[in-house]
Amino acid sequence: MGFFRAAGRWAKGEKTFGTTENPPARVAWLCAAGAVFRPIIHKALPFNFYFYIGVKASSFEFLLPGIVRSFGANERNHMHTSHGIEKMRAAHHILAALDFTPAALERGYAGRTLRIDLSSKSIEIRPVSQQMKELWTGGKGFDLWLMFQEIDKDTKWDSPNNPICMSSGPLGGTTSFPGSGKTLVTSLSPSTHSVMDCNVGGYFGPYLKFAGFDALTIVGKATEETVVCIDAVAGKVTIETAPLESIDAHLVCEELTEMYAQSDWDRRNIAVVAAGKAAEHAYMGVLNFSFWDWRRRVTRLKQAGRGGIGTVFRNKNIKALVLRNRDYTPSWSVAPSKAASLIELPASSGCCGCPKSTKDDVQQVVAKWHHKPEYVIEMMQDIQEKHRHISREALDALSHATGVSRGHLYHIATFYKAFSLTPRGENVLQVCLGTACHVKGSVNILEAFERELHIRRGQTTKDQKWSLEPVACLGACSIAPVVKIGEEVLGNLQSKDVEKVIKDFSRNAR
Amino acid sequence: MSNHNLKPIDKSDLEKIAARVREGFGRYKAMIMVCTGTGCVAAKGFDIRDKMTSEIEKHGLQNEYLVVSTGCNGFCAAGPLAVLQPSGVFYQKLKAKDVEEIVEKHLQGGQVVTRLLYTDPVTEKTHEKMEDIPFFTKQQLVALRNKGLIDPENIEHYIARGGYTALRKVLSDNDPEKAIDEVLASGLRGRGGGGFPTGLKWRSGRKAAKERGEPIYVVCNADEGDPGAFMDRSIVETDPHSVLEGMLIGAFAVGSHEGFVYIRKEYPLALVRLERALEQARTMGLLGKNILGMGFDFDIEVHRGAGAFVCGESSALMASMAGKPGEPRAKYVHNVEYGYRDKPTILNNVETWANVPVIFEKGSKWFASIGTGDVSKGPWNGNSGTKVFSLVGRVNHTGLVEVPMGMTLREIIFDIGGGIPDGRSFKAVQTGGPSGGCLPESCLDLKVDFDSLTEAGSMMGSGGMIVMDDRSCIVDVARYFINFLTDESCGKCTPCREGLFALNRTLTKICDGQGTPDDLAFLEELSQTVAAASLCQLGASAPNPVLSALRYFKAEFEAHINDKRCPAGVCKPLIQYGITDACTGCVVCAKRCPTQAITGEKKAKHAISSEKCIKCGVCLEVCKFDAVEVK
Repeated sequence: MGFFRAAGRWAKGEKTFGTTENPPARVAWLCAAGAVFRPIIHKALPFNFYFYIGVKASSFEFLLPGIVRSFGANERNHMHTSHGIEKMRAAHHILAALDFTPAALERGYAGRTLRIDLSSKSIEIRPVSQQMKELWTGGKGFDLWLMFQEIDKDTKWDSPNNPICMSSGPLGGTTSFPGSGKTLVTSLSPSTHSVMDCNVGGYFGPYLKFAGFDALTIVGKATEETVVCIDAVAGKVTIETAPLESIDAHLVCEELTEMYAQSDWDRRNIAVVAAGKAAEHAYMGVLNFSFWDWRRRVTRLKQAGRGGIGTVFRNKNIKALVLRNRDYTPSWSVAPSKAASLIELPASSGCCGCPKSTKDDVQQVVAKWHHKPEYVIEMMQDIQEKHRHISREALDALSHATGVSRGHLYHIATFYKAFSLTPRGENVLQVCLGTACHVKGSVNILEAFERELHIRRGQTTKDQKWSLEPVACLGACSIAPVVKIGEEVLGNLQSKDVEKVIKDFSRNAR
Repeated sequence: MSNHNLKPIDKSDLEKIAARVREGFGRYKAMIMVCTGTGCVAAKGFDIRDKMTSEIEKHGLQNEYLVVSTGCNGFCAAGPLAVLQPSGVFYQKLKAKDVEEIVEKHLQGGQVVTRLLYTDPVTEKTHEKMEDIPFFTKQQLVALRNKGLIDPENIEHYIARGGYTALRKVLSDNDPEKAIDEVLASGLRGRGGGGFPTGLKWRSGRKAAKERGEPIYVVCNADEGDPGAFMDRSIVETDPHSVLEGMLIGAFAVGSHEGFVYIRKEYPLALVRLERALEQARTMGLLGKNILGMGFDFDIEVHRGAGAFVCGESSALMASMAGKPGEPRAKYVHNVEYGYRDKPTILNNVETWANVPVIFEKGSKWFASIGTGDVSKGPWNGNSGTKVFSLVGRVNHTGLVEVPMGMTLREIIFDIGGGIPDGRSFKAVQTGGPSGGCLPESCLDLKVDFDSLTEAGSMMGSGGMIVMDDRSCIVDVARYFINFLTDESCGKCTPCREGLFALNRTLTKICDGQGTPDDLAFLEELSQTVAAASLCQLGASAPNPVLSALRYFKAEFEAHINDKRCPAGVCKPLIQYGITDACTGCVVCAKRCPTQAITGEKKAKHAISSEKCIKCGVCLEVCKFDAVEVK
C-alpha cells in the first residue's frame, strides 16, 4: 500500500488535505479511495476478452430488420458533397501530427495513453505501467492519476496545465456489464474549483479503447480554434485549426460526423466531443459526446454534465475532438424477420430511405430558389405548404440538396411558428389573438372552437380535417375578432357564431 | 392589368404615361373605387367589385363608369365600401344586392342612395361625401397619399399620380450627399418605433460602405409582428410603388445596388401585390440595370418571414434573411455597419420608405412644416410629418388613420375615431404594441409624437392604437402582452426568457385570484431587471405593459389581489354569470349553453348553475333582453 503512504505524505506536507485549495492532495485522496475497489474489479476481469464484442455492441442495430434491409444501399459510397462541409474541411490547417498503429488489447488494456499538449502542439504516446493498472484501476482511477501528474498546487481551472482526462477503464466498450460503454472525464472544475469527475455515454470512450489508447490527456491552450482528430483508420493523430465550424455542439458534432465519415455507413464510426457557446459564458458548460443514431438518422449527444468540464474545454480553445473508428463489417447476416414485414418502413429508394416523391418535391423547391441556402426558410415554407408539415425525410433531403446541416434546419423548423413537424389538417383554422381581437374577446372564440372541434389549440382533429391554431396577429384588426380558415378571413365574430362557421364550411367543402 | 403592354421607359416618358392615363380617366363620367383592402375583402369586397362590374355591363354603362379595385380606404368599420370619384360620394356597408340599387338609382338615375350613406353615430348626421365625414376631415395623408385613388396592381395609376418623378429628380441631380441632406432637413424619423433619424442612418451607412469599400444593402422591414397593428400591410396593399420608389431613392443616396423586402407570410394579399409591383417596375425599367436610362442599377428581392415576432428586431431580421433562426445579437454591433451578410445595411420600415418620395416631390421644408418639433435644432428634435395609426379596439370608427405628429390622443380617439361604442366609457388606450403601455384618460391630452409618449411610459411604436372601454381588464391585458412575449422570446438570453416567464406566472396568479400584496413589488422589481439586462429591444421594452399598468391602474391590481374581484368582468375565476329580472324566459340561452348550465321553464326567469357554468359568454351574446349580467 505504498500509495496510501504517498497520499499521506502529500496530505501532511500541504496541510490542506482534501480541500479545494490543493488539487494534488485531493487527487491523491480520490485515488486512494479508488484503490480500495481494486481487488473487486480485478476479480471481475477473468477473461482475455476480445474487443470486437464492443464494436458489435455499439452497432447492435444490425439486429433490427429494417436496417439490414437497407444495408446494401448504404454500402455504396454516396456521401453528399455539400459545399459548406467542403469549405470547412479546406480551411483546416494541420498544426501537429503523429502516426500510430492501433494496438491490440490485452485483458482490457491497450497499455498506452495519449497525451496532447495544445500549447506546445505536441502529441505523445505514453506507456501504462503495471503499477498503474493495479493501483488506479478503472476509468476514474486512470484519469485521476494522469491528472495528478499534470497539476501542481497552484493549478486553477483555467490554468493551461489543468488537464481534461478521458478514459473508459478496462471494461470500456464491452457488452459484459451495464455501463461499461461509459467514458469517465475529469478536470479541475470552474464551478467548484475542485477535482470533478463525470461519466458520459456516447461512442468516444469505447472507440478510444479500440484505437488502442487506455486514456487521453489534454493539456495546454490552443491559440486558435482547434480540432483534435484521432483517426484509427489512417493511424494518425492530428491537431488541426478549425476556423469555420460552428460552436454549437449540436451543429459541430453533425458537421464533423459528416466531414470525417467516408460513407453513410461510416457515420457510425465517428464520435465527436464538443462544447457549445454557453460553455464560454457560464461555469457549468457541459461536454457533449456524440454518437450516430442509425435509426433516427441524426447525430445524438450525451453529456458529461457535471462540474463545467465543457467550460474548461472551450477555455482551451478546442472546438471538438473527433475519433474515427476502424470500420467493422460483419461476416454474418441476419435474415429479414417476419416482424419486419408487418412494420411499415419507408421505401429505400432514396439515399436515406426517404420516399421518392418527398425527395423530388424537395429538389424542385430547392431548384425554384436557385439552390441558395439563404432561402431555406422560403424553401421550407413551400414544402410545408405542399406536404402540410415538414417531415424528417424532407429535412434530410433539404439538407442534402442545400448543404445546410440537419441540426440547423431542425432549429429553423422549431423556431418559426409557420412550421409543423406533424401533419396539419386539411383546413387550418387560425384564431387571431392580436391585441384588438383580445380586447374584443377572441379567447372566448378560441375556446368555443376547441369545444366545437373537440381538440385543443395547436392540435389536429383525428379525421385530419381541422387544425386549430392561435396566431399572433392577422393584421385585420379593424374587423376584430378575426379568424382565418385557409385563405378566407372572417371578421366581427362572436362565440355564438362558431358552431355555424364550422357547419357552413364543412358543407361547402363537401 | 396584364404586364405585356408595359414597355421599358426612360425619363421623358413619365409625363406621357400620366397624361394618357388621366385622359383615359377623363373619358368616364365617374370612377367607382371599390375598396379591396383586407378588411373589406373579409366582408366580401371582391364580390362587390365583381357584381359592380357585371351590373354596369348589364346596364350598358361600361363606357361611362369605370370600376377600380383600390387598396385599403382606411375606414374599415364601414366596409365593404365604394367611393365615386371625382364626386366623392361614399357608400358603406355594402351587400351584393345594394349594388343593383346603386347602379340603377345613382348611376342611371342620378339619385344618391341615401340609405347606404354614412351616418355619424354621435351626431346622427348623414354625410354624402367622403371629405365631410369626420373620420376623414382631420386626417392628413402623406404616406397614404394614394389610398383609395389608385389600383395598387397598376403601375400606370401610380405614375398618373406623379409617381417616380421624385426618383427622376434625385437621379438627375446626381448628388447622393444632397439627397441625404434633404432627408435630414425634412426631420423624417424611423416610423418602425425607434424614431431614429432616417438621414443620420443613411449617412452612417454610406460612410461605412465607402470606408470599407464594401457593398451596401437597403432593406424594407414589412414584418409587422405587432399584434393590433396593420399600417405596413395596408401601405403595401394600397400603394406598393411608393415603397419601391422610396427604396430606390434611398439606394441611390447610400450607393446601394441590391435591396430586399422582408415581409410576413401572414399577409398573402400584400405579398401578391408587392410581387406584382416589382414585376411591373422591372418590366418598365424602373428596377434593374440603367434605371430610367439614367445609369443607376438597383434591384429588389423579397424574403418571406415565417411567423416570429422577434424578426421585427433588426438583427434578428437580418439573421432570418440569411436563412437562420431569427435570434438577435448584442446591440453594440450596428446594422448600418455590419448588417446583412456582415455588410453595411440600411433598414427602414414600410411607412418610412413610403414617406421618402414625398419629401423630394414637395421639398423637405414642406415636410418639416407638418407636425411639431424643430428639425433645425438637430435631427433628434424633429417630430415632423405624419404618422399612420391603426385605430382599433372598442372605438366606433376602427380603421387606418394618418394624422400630423403632435395631434392629441383625444382628437384621434374621439374626433376621428368617433368615441366609444354602446355608450360605454373610455378606460385606456394602448400604444406601441407589446413594447408600449396603456395610457389612462388623464393622458388623453398628450400630444402624439416620439418623445411625449415615451415620457408617459408608453411609446409610439409602429402605430398600433388599441382603445379599451370599461369592459377591458388592465391586469388581463398586461398578462396578455407578457404571455405573448413569453411565447415570442427567442430564448437566447436568460433575463428575457426566464424573467418574462416569471412575470407571466405572477400575472396569471393575480388574474386567477391567487395574488398576494407582495406580488406588486415583485412585478415591479422583476420588470426593471428584465428591462435592464435583456440582450435586445424585445426584452428591454417587454415589461412596459406591466410597468405602465402598475403606474396608472394600480387600483385594479389591488381589486384583483385584495377583494378577489375583476372590476371589468374579464378574469374568469373572479366572475359569476347571473340572470336578472329582465329575463323573459325565451329559452334561447338555455338552448345555446354548451354545458346545459342554464335551466328554467318557458316564460319564467332562468337561472345559471355556477358549478356547470364555464363562463364562455355565449348566453350574454345571444340574449336579446340584456338579462345576462357578469358580476
